[in-house]
Amino acid sequence: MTMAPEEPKVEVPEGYVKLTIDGEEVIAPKGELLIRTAERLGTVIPRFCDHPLLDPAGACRQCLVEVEMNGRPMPKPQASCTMTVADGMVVKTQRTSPVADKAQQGVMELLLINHPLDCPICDKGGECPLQNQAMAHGRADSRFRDTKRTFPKPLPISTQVLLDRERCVLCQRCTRFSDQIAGDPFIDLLERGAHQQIGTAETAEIYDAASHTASGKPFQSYFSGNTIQICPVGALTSAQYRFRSRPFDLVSSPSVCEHCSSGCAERTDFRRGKVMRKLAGEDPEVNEEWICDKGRFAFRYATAAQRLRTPLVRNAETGELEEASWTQALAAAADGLAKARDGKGVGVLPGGRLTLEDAYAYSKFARLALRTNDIDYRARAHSAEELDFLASRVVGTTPETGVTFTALEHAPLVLCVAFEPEEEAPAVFLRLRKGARKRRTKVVHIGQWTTPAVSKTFGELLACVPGGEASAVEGIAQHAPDLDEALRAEGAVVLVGERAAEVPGLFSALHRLSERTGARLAWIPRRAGERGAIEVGALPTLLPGGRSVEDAAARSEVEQVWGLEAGALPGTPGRDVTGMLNALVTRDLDGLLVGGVDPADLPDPALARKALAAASFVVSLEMLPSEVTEHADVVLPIAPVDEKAGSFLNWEGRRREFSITLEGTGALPDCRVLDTLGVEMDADLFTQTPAAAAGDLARLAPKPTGSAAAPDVPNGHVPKAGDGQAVLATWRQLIDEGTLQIDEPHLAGTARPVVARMSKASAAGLGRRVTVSTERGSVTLPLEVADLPDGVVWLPANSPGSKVRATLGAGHGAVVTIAAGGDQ
Amino acid sequence: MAVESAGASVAERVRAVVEAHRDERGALLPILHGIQAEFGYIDPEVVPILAAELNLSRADVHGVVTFYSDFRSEPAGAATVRLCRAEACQSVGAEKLVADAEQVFGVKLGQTTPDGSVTLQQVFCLGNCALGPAAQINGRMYGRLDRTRLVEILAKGAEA
Amino acid sequence: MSADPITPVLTKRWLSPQSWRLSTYEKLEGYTAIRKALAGTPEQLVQLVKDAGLRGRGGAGFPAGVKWSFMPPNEDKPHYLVINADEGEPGTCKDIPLMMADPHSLIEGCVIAAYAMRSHHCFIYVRGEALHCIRRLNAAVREAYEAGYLGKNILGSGFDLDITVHAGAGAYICGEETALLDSLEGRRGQPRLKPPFPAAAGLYAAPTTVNNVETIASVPFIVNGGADWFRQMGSEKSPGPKIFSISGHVERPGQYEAPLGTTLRELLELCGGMKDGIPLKFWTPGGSSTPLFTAEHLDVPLDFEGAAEAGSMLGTTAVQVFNETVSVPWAVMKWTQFYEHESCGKCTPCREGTYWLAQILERMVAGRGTEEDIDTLLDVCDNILGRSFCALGDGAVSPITSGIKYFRDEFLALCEDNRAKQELVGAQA
Repeated sequence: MTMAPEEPKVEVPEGYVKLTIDGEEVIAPKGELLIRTAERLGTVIPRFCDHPLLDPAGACRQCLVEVEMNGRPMPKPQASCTMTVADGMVVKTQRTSPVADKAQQGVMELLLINHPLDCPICDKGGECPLQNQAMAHGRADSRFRDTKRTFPKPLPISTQVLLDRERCVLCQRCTRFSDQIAGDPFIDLLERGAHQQIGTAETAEIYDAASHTASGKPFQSYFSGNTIQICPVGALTSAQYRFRSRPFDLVSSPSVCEHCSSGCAERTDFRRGKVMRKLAGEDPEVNEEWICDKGRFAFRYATAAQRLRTPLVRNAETGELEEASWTQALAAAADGLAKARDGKGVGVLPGGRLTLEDAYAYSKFARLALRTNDIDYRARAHSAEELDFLASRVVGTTPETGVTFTALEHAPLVLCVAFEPEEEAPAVFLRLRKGARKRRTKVVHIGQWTTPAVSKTFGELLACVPGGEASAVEGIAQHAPDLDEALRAEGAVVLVGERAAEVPGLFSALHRLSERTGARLAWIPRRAGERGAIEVGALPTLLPGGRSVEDAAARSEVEQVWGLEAGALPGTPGRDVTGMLNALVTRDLDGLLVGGVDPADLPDPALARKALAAASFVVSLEMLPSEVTEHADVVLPIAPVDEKAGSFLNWEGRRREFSITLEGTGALPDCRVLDTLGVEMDADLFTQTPAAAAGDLARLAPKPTGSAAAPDVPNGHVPKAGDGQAVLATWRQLIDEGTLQIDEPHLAGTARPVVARMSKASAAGLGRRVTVSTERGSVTLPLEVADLPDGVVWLPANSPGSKVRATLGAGHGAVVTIAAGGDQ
Repeated sequence: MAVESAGASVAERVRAVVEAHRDERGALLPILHGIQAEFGYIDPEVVPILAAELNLSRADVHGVVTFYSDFRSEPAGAATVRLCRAEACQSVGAEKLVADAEQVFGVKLGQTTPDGSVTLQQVFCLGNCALGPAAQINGRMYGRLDRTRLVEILAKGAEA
Repeated sequence: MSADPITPVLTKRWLSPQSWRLSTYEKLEGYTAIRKALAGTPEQLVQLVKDAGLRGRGGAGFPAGVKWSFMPPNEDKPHYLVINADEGEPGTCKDIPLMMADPHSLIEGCVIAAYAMRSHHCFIYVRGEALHCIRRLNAAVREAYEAGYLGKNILGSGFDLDITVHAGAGAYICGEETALLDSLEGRRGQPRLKPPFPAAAGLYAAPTTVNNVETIASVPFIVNGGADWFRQMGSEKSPGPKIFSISGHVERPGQYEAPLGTTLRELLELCGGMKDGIPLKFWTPGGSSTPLFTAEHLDVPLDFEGAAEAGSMLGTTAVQVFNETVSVPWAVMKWTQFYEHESCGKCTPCREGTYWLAQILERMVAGRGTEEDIDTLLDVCDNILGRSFCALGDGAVSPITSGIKYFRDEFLALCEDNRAKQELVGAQA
């Protein structure tokens, strides 16, 4: 008997179905949309309204295909973007079905009848799905002989986003994004039928500042730029990029956002040595396909007129900074630093915006060239408790061992403590909202008022007095048993932000909560360089890889890798930022090496100024002049992210590497400058390039965590306000007066209103404006009522007219004086 | 501020309309009908107040107002005449009635007479096809209309 | 009860004095079916309506009992019954007269249907233009509450039902059931993606059934008369009585009740024939969304199958009759303008297609058309039919394709006039 060759039987796994597309059998997961299954097979069905991250709409009808079910052809072509796969389905796309092909051509022709022929002046020209599909599938000539629908040309829907209604094909990607993803339905469909258009209720009012504070939802969004990127035509454009370039003139480079600690993937487009725009890159693990407007639009700081491009050395006689050659400047810096080191010593303030490689160079420079542990990157409020927390709970965690974006999306419960996700890490906010929308993640916020992020994550607020967060966390078991129970569920997560360093006992309380309930705990700092700086030991207590400076074995490991004599590394913890500043003032420290640090960001800006003035020698590595420059003896210009390679560690501990975008500008990364400076001081850092620095760092594999002692600090007393006083709640808004947002007025126009907030009872009698003061100074802002606890006032930390640290010298949890601010 | 002083009473009246529908779900349409009954039209100024009261975005409210042809954004005349122009009425003289009405009142469909006495509108079918040409005048249905009857009805309405 | 085809059922009370009053209704068998229905089980009612073969009177003709049976048997979420009284199909005037003349038959039907579907809240979505009808319905609902036919524990049965009369605001698309639901929720009335179907996730994502006025008003008669009695009227697949609204060039336009399957020839007899004896040119069997018929079709049985076999649809049985004085291209242009005005804008084919079609037709009627335009019209129609999101687009092209099918000469004549004019201009130059 001969064996007939058997038809190979395709096994259909559980949860999958088998169907046929254009004659080819395919296995697809249940619930998959036809348009995606076809795409996996290599057949791209044209589409406009479909977007994989938006709910299906079926509105444009461009993706019609023929479908047969149970041997019966469906009478009409079906939209492949709304139909899910089914067992035994037979699908014919435009490749094999004349019906589908004609249907698609017909829709394309209809889309074009009212579309203007202004491709030559349209920003989208050259990268336009409508243009591309019309060229690929459309008719050569239009049969339309009548009158096109016209609208007045572009309509601003925010200071940044312009809408050209003539070009719009009403796919509703922008409105669906705003409504579903961002939760900011500031644009919507208006009118009906052929008159239907996208718009806001009253476009002109965008320029009316009053409308931002009036009742009703303001129509600005931190995510508006995404609508421009996903617009399949040139209907939405940005004021920043409009008419500035053509896609075919641009060179694209994958990049990583340098603003917050999310580490969003981006694409940077440049032309002739100048960045023209930034777009969201795709990374399903991190930012999916979205970025915030700060990440998209805030990059002009690198081309600011005041950018430092030449080394400066202070002339001892005139006291003025003068341009110098690199050789002169490095020699002067090395000389001054060596003297100060050999005197009372040099402290290092690298700042929180460095790449991993640059931060590593600072860490190594401090230990090798300056022989000190006096290094602390934390240019913000900080505490010793935080150091313990970072050493015991943060350093060394990776996406494999710690909390991730994906874990947030799938968590049954996320508790946010002293963390304002939309303002501090927008990509985290989007993921929380996605989890809450799609998977019913319950989001609870311990904060002061129902911020937009609380509402938009469908969250619950547990309000407490600022500074009372630790007590609130301790009280969960007793006062919120439901939450306590929910925290015990598999996958529950607690997120804490940088503000926790201002609340004594909070890190300790969170550690205990996590131990008690099993909820995973993640720290989400605000700046891109923070997580990396911890890993490389830019802290007074840690060496690279989470090694404690007090651990002799750990020190000796580092000494070996760095080629040092045994015992060369100092074994006592260094001073933290405030310790160094105090030491400078008391002359217990002579010199200071400063990275990108703004004294106004430090817990006590007045102390910082005093310290800078008192220091005998200051070296500043900077990109833009700052208050540090005024006190610097040597200023060494360094490169912005676009002009160097490197990597950030995002809050997950995920390495986000990027290569250089703009080559040959001559700007040097910090690691290179420090390497050369080290050579001048007889210390070999081996950090000539970011790659070299990374290679050197790699030799210091992270030491498993768990050895460091957990923070154990008792709760501070909950601040209490007396008559005429309030407890200050404050944090930064995403779009504010941050240095990296300079030279971008269109972005600044989309900032949230700068207002103070108080409870109705506390605001009574204060009138329309409130003055918040300390002995240092006062801030007067329009007053809005919100659901804060009584006796609390909220101020934006770093916005126009509200520079809390710089003006009040106070922070979150401080007791401040309150008075009517006049009606102005 | 002018908007504020004028807005105070407007806002109160709007809130009163909203309040009457507070217990109903999805009450935007009944509320808009109520606003139009209260003010005669839906002033764009009302949109932000409604948005705030109903926790909707302004764009959302504006989108609903502009979707439905019954909602006016400008005041209508003292009398509103909605002439049916659907085929059944057209076959029995609706087009002549429209022309007559436009001539009598000196305005086109969709317009209001300069003295604010009459607004002419068109409507597609009032469900009174058997008695065409039909019109709705100030919410009441009239059939078998011609120029004379139309003028009579409006004159009577003015006396009453 | 006998089933003489001429004996009216649905309209039997319409000519009684103050037919809309509760007292009149009660005198004429009103609210007798409700007692029988509430004494039985919901399942029995669904089976009864299935057995009677009642098909939806809103146009699509879906079997009402089957639709009801899609509602989940549990009550995890509230169930809603929504009455589609957004009668806006041009030429259709059956539901509004029904609600004007006999509102309680609808209310009684609502109670029975709601009971059958375990719903305790019913919305009647009435077309915004029909203010008179909204007033009357509201008055009738008040009367029914006062008499204990609505509200808590109806007639001691333990069954509760509230009815809300909801006014639309001028949007034809809201006659589409999912657009109607969005409108009821206070949104722009644009159709929703299906699935999920309303029975799974309708109003406020809860199980919902949307039924036409005439469908529900038929239910009390079925409960009283039984399925067999109902099936004696009409045809095998389309049983029961139907209100035909006859308008246009006939002697006595109006609502005429007749069994499904009645022909236009028979209907014309009922309404006194063609007005002034001018011969019939074309007609719609069920509103302007249904392809035109001509004098050839006088004997087509007007039921779901008969109309479809002859190339049209039963639709809303809005019979619009036009005589030889009416230009087909002109009538088609008028209808197209209506659809352009009422397209909701959601999908490309309907929004852009109706915009284009209206412009071509306006140009043709103004004497500036070409033969090529006729081909373009047909091809654009082909690109809309079956390609749009909902049935509005399909309806919009019906008058055009059928108009050209039967009266191409009239369209051609407009083009020839155009050519003649152009030649004249050329000669003068």
